[in-house]
Amino acid sequence: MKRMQAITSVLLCLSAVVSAMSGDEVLDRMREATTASDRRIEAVMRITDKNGRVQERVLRMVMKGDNKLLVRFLEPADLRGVSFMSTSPENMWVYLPAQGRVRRISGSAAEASFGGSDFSYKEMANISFGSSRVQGVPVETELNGVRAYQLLIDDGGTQSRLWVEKERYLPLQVEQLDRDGGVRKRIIFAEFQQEKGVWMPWLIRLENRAKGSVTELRLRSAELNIGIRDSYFSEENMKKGG
Amino acid sequence: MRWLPGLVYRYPVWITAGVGLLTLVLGYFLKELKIDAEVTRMMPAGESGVEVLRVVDREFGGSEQAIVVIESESLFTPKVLSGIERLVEQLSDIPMVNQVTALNNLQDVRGAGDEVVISRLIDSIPSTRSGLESLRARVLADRRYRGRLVAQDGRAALILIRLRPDADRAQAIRQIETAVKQAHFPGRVSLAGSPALMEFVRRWMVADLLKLIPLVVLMLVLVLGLASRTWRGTVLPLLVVLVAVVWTMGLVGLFRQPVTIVMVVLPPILLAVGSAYGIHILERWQQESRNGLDRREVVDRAVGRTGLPVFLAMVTTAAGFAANLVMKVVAIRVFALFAVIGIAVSFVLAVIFLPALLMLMPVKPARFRQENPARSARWLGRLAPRIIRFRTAVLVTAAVMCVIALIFGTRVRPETDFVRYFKSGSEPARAAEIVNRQFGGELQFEILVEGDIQDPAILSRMEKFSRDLERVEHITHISSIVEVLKSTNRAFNQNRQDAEVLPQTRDEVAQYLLLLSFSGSDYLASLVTPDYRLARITAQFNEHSSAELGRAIKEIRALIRQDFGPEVRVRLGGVPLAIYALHEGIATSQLWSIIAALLAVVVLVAVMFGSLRLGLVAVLPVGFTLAMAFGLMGLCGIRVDVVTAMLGSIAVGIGIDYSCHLIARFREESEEKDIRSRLSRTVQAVGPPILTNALAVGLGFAVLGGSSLVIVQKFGLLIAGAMLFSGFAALLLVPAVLAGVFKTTRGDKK
Repeated sequence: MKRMQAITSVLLCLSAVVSAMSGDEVLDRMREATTASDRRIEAVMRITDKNGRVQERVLRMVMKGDNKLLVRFLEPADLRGVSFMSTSPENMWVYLPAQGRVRRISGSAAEASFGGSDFSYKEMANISFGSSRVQGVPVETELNGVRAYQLLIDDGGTQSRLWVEKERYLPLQVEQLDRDGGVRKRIIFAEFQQEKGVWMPWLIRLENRAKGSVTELRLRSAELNIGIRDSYFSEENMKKGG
Repeated sequence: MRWLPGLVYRYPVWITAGVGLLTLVLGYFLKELKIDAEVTRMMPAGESGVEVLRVVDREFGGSEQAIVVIESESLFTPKVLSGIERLVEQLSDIPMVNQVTALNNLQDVRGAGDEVVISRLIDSIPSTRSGLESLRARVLADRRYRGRLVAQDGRAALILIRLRPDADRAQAIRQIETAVKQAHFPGRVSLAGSPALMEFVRRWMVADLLKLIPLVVLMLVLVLGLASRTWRGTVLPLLVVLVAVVWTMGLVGLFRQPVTIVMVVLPPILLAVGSAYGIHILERWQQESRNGLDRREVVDRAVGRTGLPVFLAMVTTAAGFAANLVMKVVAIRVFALFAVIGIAVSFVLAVIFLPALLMLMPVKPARFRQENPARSARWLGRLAPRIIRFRTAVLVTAAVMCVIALIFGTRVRPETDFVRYFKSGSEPARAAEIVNRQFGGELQFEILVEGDIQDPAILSRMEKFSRDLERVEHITHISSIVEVLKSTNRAFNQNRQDAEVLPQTRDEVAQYLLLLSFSGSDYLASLVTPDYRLARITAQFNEHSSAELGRAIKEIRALIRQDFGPEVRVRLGGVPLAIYALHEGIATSQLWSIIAALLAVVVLVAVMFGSLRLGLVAVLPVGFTLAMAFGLMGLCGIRVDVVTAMLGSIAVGIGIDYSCHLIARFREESEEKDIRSRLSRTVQAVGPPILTNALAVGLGFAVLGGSSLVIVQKFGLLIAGAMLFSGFAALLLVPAVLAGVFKTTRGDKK
C-alpha cells in the first residue's frame, strides 16, 4: 500500500470505461494511464506540522522503473546538494556535501519518514502498486462529485482504500488504514496534467492523521520518458547532483 | 441570635422541608465530583514549571510517560522478547498513546564500515542461544540502553509509554493495564511513571472515600450512642452533619472544583467536626427538657443560649480552616474555602434544622437519659478543685512539656514526595523504587533551549551544560539532540570513537538532522521541533525527596545561567519543579497559617467575650496541643506534607472550641462568687460534652488512619491525637489559668 502513496501517482494512466471490471483490471488501467519509463521532476515539498509551522524544501527527483530514484535537495541552503539514491528497496545511499562522502544506508531507513516529511522513502521511490493485490470487487461510488471506483488494496498486510476516477482511471485518493480500520494517512492527488500521453498529478497532498501534519508536494516541472540510463544512478552523480 | 429560637419554634415544618429540598438539589451535584490526584495542579501554574510541561505537550507530543516494568530472570529469551514485542504492538494501538519505546522497537543508528545502519535494535528475535547471548551482550554494553531500558544486571526491562497530551489518563492507564494483563509475561510486571502513580492515587482516593465515610459514620454512631444513650442523641446530630456534608460536597460539584488528595479528607473532617454543634445543642435541649421547661423555653435556651458558644466555636473553627487560605498551595486554599462553607453549614443546620426536627418529635422525657448529673460530670466536678489546688504544678508541667516538645518540633521538615503517598512495599512504591534504583529514576527535568538549534555554538553550549548536569547529584540519564548528533557523526565516520563529537558546521548539523529523519522521526521529534528553533533536554532524577529536588533545582538553575548566559533563552520545568514548588509552598506558608489561625481565634474570642485576657486564656490549650503535636512529629520523624500542612491551623480552629465552651459557661456561672464552686460547676456542666465532642472528633479523625494513602493516615492519626489531647488540655489548663486570673475577682465583666 505504502507504495502507491507517493509519487506513485505521478505516473499512472488512463483508458476507457468498462463496466463490471475486476479490481485488478481497474488497477492495471490506472497503471497504464500514469506510468512512464522514467521521469525528472522538480518539486516543492511543503511540510506543515500540527502546530502550523511550515518548512519548505525544493527537490529534484529522477526516477526510472519501479525502484530507481535519485533525490537531490536544492533548497534550503544548508541542505543544498544532499542526495539520496536507491536502486532497489535494499540498496540506498546518502551523500552529505558537508562530509563530502557517500554512505550506504542499510536497515529500515526506507520505512521511515523522508526528510522530515510525511512520506517515507519507500513512498517516494515507488512508482506503481507493484505487488499490491486488490481485495474484493470495486465499488462504484463518488468522491467529491467525481464518479470513481473504490478498491480495497492489500500490500503485504497493510490495507488501504483507493479511489480511481472512473472516466480516466486516475488515482484520486488513497487512505491507509490502521489495524482497527481507521484512517492513518490520506493522500490526495490533484491537478492532473498529461505529458507525452502520461497523466501526472501536479499536487500530492498527504495528511498524516496520527501526527496531525500535512505534506504537500507541488511540481514545478516534469519531464517524462526522456531516456534516462541505468548508469545515471551512481555515486558520482550523487556528488555532482545529477 | 434572639430571633432564631422564635423562627425555629414557629416554622419547624417549613425549615425541615426546606432543608430536605435543598439537600436533594445539592445532592444532585454530587455526581459532578471529579477526583483529581494531579500534583502539577496543586500549585499556581506560574510557580511550578508546569508551563514548560505544556510547551513539551504542544511541541514534543506529550510530557507524560507511563512505564511498564518487566522483571524476569530470563529476559533475553525468545518467549519474553516476543512477549515484549506483542505488548509494544498492543500498547501502540491504544489511541491515547503517542509513542511506545522498548528494546525491540528502538531505532538504532550505527556505523558498520562504510555503511550507516539505520535499523531497529532488535530487527528479529534471535532463536539460537548464541544469538540471544550476543544480543544480551550488545545491549548491556551500550550505555544508550543499559540502565535506561534494561537493568544493569539484565533482569529487568522497561517499556516507556508516552501519552498524548489530551489523553484521559484514567482510561489510558486502564487500557495499558489490560494490555499488560493479556500479555501473560512469565515474570513480574508492574506500572510506574507519574501518570500511573497519579492514577493509582486517584483510585485509592475513591476507595478511601467509599471506605472512610461509612467508618466515620459508624464511629460517630458509637460515640454518640454511648454518650447520649438515646437514639435521638445518636441519630439527630449525625443526620444534621450528613446533610451538611451533602450540601458542601454538592457545592464542590456545583462549582466544578476537583476533589484533590487534600479535599478527600473534607467529608470525614466535616462529619467529625460538624457533629459537635449538634451534640451541644442536643445536650442543652435534653438538660432543659429534664428541668421541666416548656417547649418554647427549651428552644429559647438550647438555641438562644447554647447557640452563642456554638456560634463562637463555629467561627473559631472556621477561622482555623480559613487560615489555610494564606497557603500558596491552590489545593489547600480550595479545601480551606469549602471547609469554611461546610462548617458554617453544619452550624446553621445544628441551630435551625436540629431543633426543628426536635420540635416535630413528641415529648418523651422518659426516653431521655435520667442520670443527673452524669457520672462523668460528677467526676469532672471533683477534678476542678484539685486543678485549682495544684494549678502552679499543672501550668509549670505544661510549660516544661511545651519547651521539650518545641525542641523536637524544630526537627520537623516538609516533604512532598508523592511516592510516599503509598505504603512502603505496596506495588506502586515498589515499581517506583525499581525505576529509581535500576533505571535512573522516573522523575524527569525538562530543559527547553530556544534559538537556532542547528547553530554549532548553541549545540556546544548544550553539550557543556549536559556534561555539567551529569555532575549534579541524583541526575542520571540526560537526553538531547547533542548525543544523537554525536552518535550520528560517529556512525557516518566508520564508527570511529574519536568521531563521537558534535559536527563543526551548521551545514553538517542540518544534513545529519535530515539523515536522522530516516531513523524514526518520532524520537527526533521528541528532542527538537521540526523548525529546529526549540530543543528539549531531559534529565532523569533518581530521588523523590523534595529536599534533594530543591538542591538539584538550585544547581541546575545556576548551570543554566553559567552555560547559556543571558543570550540564549532556557527554561527549566517538569514534575520535579511542581513537587518542589509544593514543598516550598508548604514550607513558607505553613507557619503563617498557624500564626493566622492563632491570631484569628484570639481576636474572635476576645471580641466575643469582651476580654483580651480571656482570648489569651482560650488559646493556651491549643498552643500546648500544637507544641505537643509538632514535638511528636519531630520525635517520630514525621514530615509535613500537603495534608499534614493543615494540621496546625485546623487543630487551633477545632481545639479552641473546648476553651470557648468552658469560658462561656464560666461567664454564665458568674452568680457563683466562690471561684472553686464556679469552676466546679463550669467543668461539671460542659466537661462531659467537651469530652464527648473531643472523643467524637478524635475518633472521627482516627478513622482516617484506615486510609490507603499514607499522608491521609498520618494526618488522621495526628489530628485525632491532637483533638483528644486538646479536650483534656482545655479541661486542665483553662480552669488552672482562670483560677489564677480570677482568684481575687468576684465575677467577670458581662
